Amino acid sequence: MPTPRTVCTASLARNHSVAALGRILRLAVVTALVVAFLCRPAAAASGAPASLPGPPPGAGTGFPAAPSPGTVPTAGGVGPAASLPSGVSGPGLLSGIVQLQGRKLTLAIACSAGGAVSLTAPALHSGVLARGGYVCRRRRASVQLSLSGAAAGRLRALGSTLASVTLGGQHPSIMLEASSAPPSDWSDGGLECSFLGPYEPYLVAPNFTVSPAVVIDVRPWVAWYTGANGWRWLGTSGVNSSTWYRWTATPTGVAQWVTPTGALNPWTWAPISVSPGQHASAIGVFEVIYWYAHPRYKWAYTRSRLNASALGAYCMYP
Amino acid sequence: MLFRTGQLHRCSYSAGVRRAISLTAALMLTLAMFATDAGLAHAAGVPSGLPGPPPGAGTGFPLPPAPGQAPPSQPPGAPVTIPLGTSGPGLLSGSAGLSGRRLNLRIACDAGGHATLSVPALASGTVAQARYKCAGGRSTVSLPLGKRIAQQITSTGSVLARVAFTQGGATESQSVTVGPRPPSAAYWTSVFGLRCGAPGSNQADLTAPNFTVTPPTTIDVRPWLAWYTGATGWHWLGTEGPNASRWYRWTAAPGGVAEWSTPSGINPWAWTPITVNPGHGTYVIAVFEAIYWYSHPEYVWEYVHSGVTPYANTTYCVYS
Repeated sequence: MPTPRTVCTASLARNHSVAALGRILRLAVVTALVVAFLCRPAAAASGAPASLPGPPPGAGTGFPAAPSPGTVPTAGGVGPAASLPSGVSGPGLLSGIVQLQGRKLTLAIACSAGGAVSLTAPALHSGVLARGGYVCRRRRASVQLSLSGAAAGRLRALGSTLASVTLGGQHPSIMLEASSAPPSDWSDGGLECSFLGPYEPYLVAPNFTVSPAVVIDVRPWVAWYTGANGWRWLGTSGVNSSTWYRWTATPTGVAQWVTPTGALNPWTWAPISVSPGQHASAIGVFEVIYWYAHPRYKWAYTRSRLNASALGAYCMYP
Repeated sequence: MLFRTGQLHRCSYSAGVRRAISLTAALMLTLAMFATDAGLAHAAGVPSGLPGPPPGAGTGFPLPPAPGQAPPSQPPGAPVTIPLGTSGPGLLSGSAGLSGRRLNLRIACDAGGHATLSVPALASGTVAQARYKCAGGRSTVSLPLGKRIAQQITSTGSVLARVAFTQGGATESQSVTVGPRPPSAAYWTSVFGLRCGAPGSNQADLTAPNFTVTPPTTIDVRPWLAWYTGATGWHWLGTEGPNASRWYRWTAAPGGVAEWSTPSGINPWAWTPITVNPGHGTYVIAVFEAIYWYSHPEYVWEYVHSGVTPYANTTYCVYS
């Protein structure tokens, strides 16, 4: 941001009367206030997320091979120690849930420069479904994408579908919805916000129950939001990358998580460190494949444990 | 004038002056005796309150157990002697109620210093600080709280806090529970606990409560001994030394700790012998912290009962 010339009052004052100097000073103050107003960080940049992060990166894709006959999974290890990166680059989505308005979809973006967006949704159309460009103002942009009548009609028929956007060289997933639908949460597990420390959440997997017993593959994620960067994703293999974990879901829960002495020790991912001062919000997400004869895929959020007695959507880290 | 002895030396020692000197000496001796008696009164008394939460209560947790993994075997507590030499002040009670917007902490001390209070569950950083002077081995640290934090403490009911005493360049942190009123003490329900006068007359042994829970869950347990003398106030000893203890991992089940069950009965974790040097008027009590690793973990700390037999409960083991 260039320095306003009017702040150079010292040199001007030498050549003007006191009255003129007063006018110049007032002008300088007003100019500085206007500049400060125009250059202030976007109000949204420090706020809580306006919407949920939607599906994780590559949702519904990148599945592991089906288990071989008679496979008995092992309990495996915990998730590795990790940190939410404090420095991220490129644009990010402000919401991963996008609703159809007529034939239009609007993407809200956190950005530092203008760019282009393309949208794919395999269930609606092969190849690119829509394209658009955006101009970045005060770290925010909005992109309006138009669907064909056929694609919009197909989305209405499906109700919702997974899609992917190409945005700043990344490919975040989004959920396209024909109408507003409540978010889907796993009934247990979740992000423990501060049990291990005020900036040290950890993720607990839901105790997947299903009848009859079936092998499952589970992919864990933590989505975190900052006003400056929008939603970002951390998996157990790094940013935008996570690992599939294989267990057996039974009518009473995951068989491999029960200890020989009868305790239930679910899979956990700990610790996940957050740097103070990021003003970050975080939420856990689990994808699951149930390997029935016809496999079934599902992703859902987990609830966040704010303290010993309160649940919420997000863990917050000021 | 009787106390201005410097001037008296310059005068001749008349009979009157000698009487005056004698009177002065007697008065000073009496004052000194009163002062000493006051100190002794402190030193000989029973604790005015329980020790409160152990050092670092509610923090320093281990990571949750690995999926499906049973706890490995755990070692017993090693023989230990209560270390009566201490550094820094000791709390006379580890729980305190608000007095208006002030928190008054009574301490045993040997010098003045500076205290800072933090309440991590309610605010980051220091929420109050104060200087204190030490007189007769005692002081009251009066910590002024902001309106907001005082209201939060009042509405929360009882919350873990940490007070750091800085004295002579050294800082020592102690945990304390604060609330609108001093919180009541909670005890583990168990016939196990601190057995006084065993195996020797100046010893004790500590047996962990038989943690029971439905459904079974992995637990982490951290044992502590708190000891008090009138001269030192409350101080803490863990299985890793003063102010340091380790977490022990077991499985709590509806019938008790699974790993302690043997064909011939229960064989609980024990810490023995705990030796107390005689002649200090020492009071000892034990505390256990526990984390229940349910899907949503829970943390608890409570005292255990003391007694010469499992069914003759007292608050403390007392060693004259």
